Amino acid sequence: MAERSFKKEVEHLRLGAGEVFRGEGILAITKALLQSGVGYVGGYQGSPISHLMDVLADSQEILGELGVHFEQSGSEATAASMLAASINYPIRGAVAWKSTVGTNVASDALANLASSGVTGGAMVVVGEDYGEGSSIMQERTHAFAMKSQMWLLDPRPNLPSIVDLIEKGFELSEVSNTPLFLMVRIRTCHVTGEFIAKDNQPPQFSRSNTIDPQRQLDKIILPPIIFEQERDKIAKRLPAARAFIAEHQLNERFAGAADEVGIVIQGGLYNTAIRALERLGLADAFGNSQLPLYVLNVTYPLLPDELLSFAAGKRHLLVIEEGQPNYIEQEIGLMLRNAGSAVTLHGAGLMPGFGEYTGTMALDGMAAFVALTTPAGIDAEQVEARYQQQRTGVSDEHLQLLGDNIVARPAGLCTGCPERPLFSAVKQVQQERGSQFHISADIGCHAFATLPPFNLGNTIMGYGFSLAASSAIRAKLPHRAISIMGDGGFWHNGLTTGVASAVYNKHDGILIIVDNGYSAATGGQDIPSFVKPENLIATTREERPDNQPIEAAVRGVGVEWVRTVTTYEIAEMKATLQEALDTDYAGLKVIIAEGECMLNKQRRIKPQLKKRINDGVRTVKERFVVDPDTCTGDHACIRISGCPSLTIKENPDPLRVDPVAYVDNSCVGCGVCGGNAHSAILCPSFSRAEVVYNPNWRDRALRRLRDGVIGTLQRRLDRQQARSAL
Amino acid sequence: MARPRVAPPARRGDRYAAAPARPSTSEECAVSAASIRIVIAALGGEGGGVLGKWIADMADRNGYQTQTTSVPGVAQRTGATIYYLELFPRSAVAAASPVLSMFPAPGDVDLVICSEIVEAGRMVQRGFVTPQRTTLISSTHRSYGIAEKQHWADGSADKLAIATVCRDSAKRFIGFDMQETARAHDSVINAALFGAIAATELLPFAREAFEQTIRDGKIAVESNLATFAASFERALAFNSSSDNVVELFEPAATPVAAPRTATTASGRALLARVEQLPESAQALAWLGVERLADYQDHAYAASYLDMLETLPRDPQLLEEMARYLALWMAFEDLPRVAQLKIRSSRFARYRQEVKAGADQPLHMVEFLHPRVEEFCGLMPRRLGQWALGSALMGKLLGLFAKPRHFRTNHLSGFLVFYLVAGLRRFRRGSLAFHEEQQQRQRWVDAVAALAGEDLAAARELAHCGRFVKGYSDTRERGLRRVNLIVEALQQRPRSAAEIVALRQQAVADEDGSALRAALAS
Repeated sequence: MAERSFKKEVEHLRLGAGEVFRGEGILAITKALLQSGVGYVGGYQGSPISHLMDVLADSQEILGELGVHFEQSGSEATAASMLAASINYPIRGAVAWKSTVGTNVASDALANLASSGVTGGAMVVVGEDYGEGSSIMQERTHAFAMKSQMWLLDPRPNLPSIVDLIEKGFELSEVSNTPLFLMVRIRTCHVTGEFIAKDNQPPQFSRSNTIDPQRQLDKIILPPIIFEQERDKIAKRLPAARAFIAEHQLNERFAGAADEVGIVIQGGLYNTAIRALERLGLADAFGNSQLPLYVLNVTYPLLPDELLSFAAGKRHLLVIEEGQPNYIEQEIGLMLRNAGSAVTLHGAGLMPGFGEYTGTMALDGMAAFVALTTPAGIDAEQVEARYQQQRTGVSDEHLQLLGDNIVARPAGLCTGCPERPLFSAVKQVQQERGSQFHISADIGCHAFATLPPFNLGNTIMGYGFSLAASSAIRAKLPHRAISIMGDGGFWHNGLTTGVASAVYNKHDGILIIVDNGYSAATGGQDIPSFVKPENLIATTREERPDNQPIEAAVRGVGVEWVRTVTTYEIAEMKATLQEALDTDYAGLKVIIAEGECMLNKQRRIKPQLKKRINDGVRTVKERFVVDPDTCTGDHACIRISGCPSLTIKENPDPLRVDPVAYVDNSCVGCGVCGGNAHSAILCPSFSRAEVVYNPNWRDRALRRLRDGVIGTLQRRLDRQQARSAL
Repeated sequence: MARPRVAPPARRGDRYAAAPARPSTSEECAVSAASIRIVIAALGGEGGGVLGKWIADMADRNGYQTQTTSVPGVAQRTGATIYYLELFPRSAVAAASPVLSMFPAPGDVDLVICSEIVEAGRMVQRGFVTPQRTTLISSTHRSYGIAEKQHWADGSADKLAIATVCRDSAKRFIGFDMQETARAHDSVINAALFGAIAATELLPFAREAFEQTIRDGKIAVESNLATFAASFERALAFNSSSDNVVELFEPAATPVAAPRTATTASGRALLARVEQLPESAQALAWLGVERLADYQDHAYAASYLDMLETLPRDPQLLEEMARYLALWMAFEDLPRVAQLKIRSSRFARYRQEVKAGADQPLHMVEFLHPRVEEFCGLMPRRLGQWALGSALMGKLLGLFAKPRHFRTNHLSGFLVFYLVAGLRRFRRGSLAFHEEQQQRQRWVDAVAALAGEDLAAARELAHCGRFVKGYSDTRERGLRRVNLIVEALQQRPRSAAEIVALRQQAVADEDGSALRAALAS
């Protein structure tokens, strides 16, 4: 079940011409696709595109009414291949994923698509997860755009600009027979704003109005056609695109008084740049800037004529381009040189040249540019003074104090995560064996096990690649190679890249597949398999009786040793892992570690529990507590758990100084603390409280009996204690 | 490991230096802030997004255009995350739209709202809090990071230090335990933060607009409004009193100060002996005496004082020894655990902690995993030693030594514990008692011997008693650490600084290899 529901918000997608649409970036993007008359949409989840997939999933009713086909693709390659529908036919389509990882996966299909060229507009919406908080390596989608010749749109981050560019983008794609990327940065996906809506356009072709199959030999990827396609790209498609971009002024020029200089900027960075100029007194809140700006809403291809006309008469140009290599700056440099221009070009030297361009970086870069170029019409000294005023510094003494006391908060598994007991078990087996494991980790929440307190995992190669990643190292390890993969990764790539290949190569190692029934790390989207305890997959397709179990899949490609273990049975999990490490069986050993997300379970059963209690039905609620009397504050329990609900508090015992463990009210009673206390022989402090609501006569009678006897004995103990008092 | 802190924890009640002078209004730089810029720093799962939505909804209904951005995703899985809002008056929007930023920028934020004090510190660290401009609102409670929690002893941050920096770095700082305010009214922290925001009068909306927003949310309206009002009042106090905010928010722990009274003859005798100790060690020593009288009997407590009295009268050394010797002597064997588990006071506390009603049936399921070693430890010394070595006994005891659940509120479970607790009268003859006593005595002797030569080093060795805690493997690891250090000192004397360094190495890893390496070098 997706963590976030957009059921209410998607109603905005029905707004008609002239109405004001208010909402989040991802919803605006969806609305723009519908306004553009797309015939199909698809994609694969991953931040910041996960919510776009959730929006699409939640808007299936509206999509269905319009006749738009939707698929939740098995991977980005699946999604990219969907775009094949636009090769032969005038059908518009869009797919979405997280870039650049998703683009990597899709690149085979994209390259072929771009070579064939498209008849209907084809758009790939890529969410850029770039910068400090990113969960992926820092690379640019720009490189893919250039290498495959797909156009790259990078709109100014406000909803009207984004919506407009999506609509124009489909026209551009069709005019130039070229698929394109729409790039949205992570904050843009979640920015809120408003725009004036248009009517949705139902696609021309649908189930009720099918299209006659057509075959165009020049769209097939075979020699000698491929070479013709290459010629077509340069001779026809590129000039057509440039002409359209120029004619419709997709890039924007903003005049400024200080026309000796100019700034060339990616559309997506426009707001950040304007804010920096505003703070330096060089722009107002509405974007009226004293420095002329050339805003590239299309960052590939560039338009030499436009650029040279902007540069004409200027002494200095500053290119603000996020990411490296600085492709745009390089190309502009070449344009200027070829045109014999004397303009001095600045870019990655004044700006950091890598990483996400934040407000501070823009401020520093602009101030440095003005100081260096002192353009006529601008009081550079005053700008410098304002810059100095804007700079903030925290004193060294404070920084030291903060540095000593501000703790890192690495990502971890949520309270009640079914993966926690698995990693507790793995860590305990590792401790019992007395040596470190080499573990090939994978993409997904389970990757957090590489962080404290588990510290398990050595490499992450890609989504579903962990088994393949242990294929060479397995021959050099003192223990059987261990790979851990999520169910999401398994279906995305792991089954073929990993399991099938490993069986074929007689891989004598262990694959643990974490199976919680849905794609957890990206926000709870559906996958082909789901776990037994409940049919969790309720978001988009309600109940799915036709599930595709992981066990059947691995047996189908030849795995013989398969164990399915409930993660919450820590002792059994440990025993299974020990068995897999020690068995004589030499083939691939697959452990399916199955467990339901307890937060999901809470969402599912909480209303039921509440109803039962309100209805007067006998109900038992469970949670864990730690006894502060017997807890000695060594926190061994935390080191094999890391549960957010298992925390510390000041020791109530004045003799002891170390904080005691403490289970806070967010505990969902998953039982991992108790299981760990047992299996790792920790301490006698853990206790499970079972609170009975609406007790029946038996509960009440037993309670009276127990309390009577126990109370008497306790009073005796109290008297003894009083006697031993000083 | 974050920052090994083996020295005694800082006294939490210490006052930090007074606030430095703030720039006066005339010195404030004239920044053309066309929009109101707000940062919300929250932890994953706390609902920072909901607070952002409250502010945005309120602004929207009161003539302001709002833009919010955030980076959800991985950051929310227990990580820290921030939401950024800009509010722009619609009256100023004519034909053109304002260009609002996607990022908060250092030096360019009017209001920073934090759900936790370390996150407030992080906002200062990142430069979002400036004395010229920024009002900082933060709850002062702690939500501990994994590095703090997994520390073998106490790795927790000094929140008073952070709060002091917050006070000195902000134009205005409002900090108190808003989680407690929320809890008192059975609500969530957002409502408390919202109340504090309203009290600052920084946003151009009246209190009624805030309250209306809560009502429009239609969720837990009554409790949210009550929390809002309580927090509003509390925050107002900060408005009128800006210099002593650190006093306004509570200093955490109270120093050790228990009333010392004795009613029995032997109790009075013990008290008289405690009062002969250096003043600063008396409180701890008396706690130790009380602990041991409860653990065993008055004679046992007297033997504790015997040991303290043989040591040099150095206050600091005696403080350390009073604490760690008492804890070691009151080690948690099965009778002790049973004794603590079945107390009426524990039953009451337990019921309160799980919020069970007074007449609600409550089952208490204890998770125990006694090992064969624990059973043998209970036996008379020689029998226990024999049993430990006997395969047959191992098998027999193995029937009991396994993961077990006991329901202490059921007769069967209670009676088992009751009987085991009664075994403490035979404790002195038991194997476990004998072994603990031997190990403890080696440490006490080493401290006493060292105190004659190097008092500072002896204090640090005394502090090594802190390693001795926990159960089974954890306890054995701790004991091994103390033993290794004691043995190393017998080989050659080491300075206080060297012992501190050894202590740090001792907790650098779980298997003790860092300590062994440090001792070998």
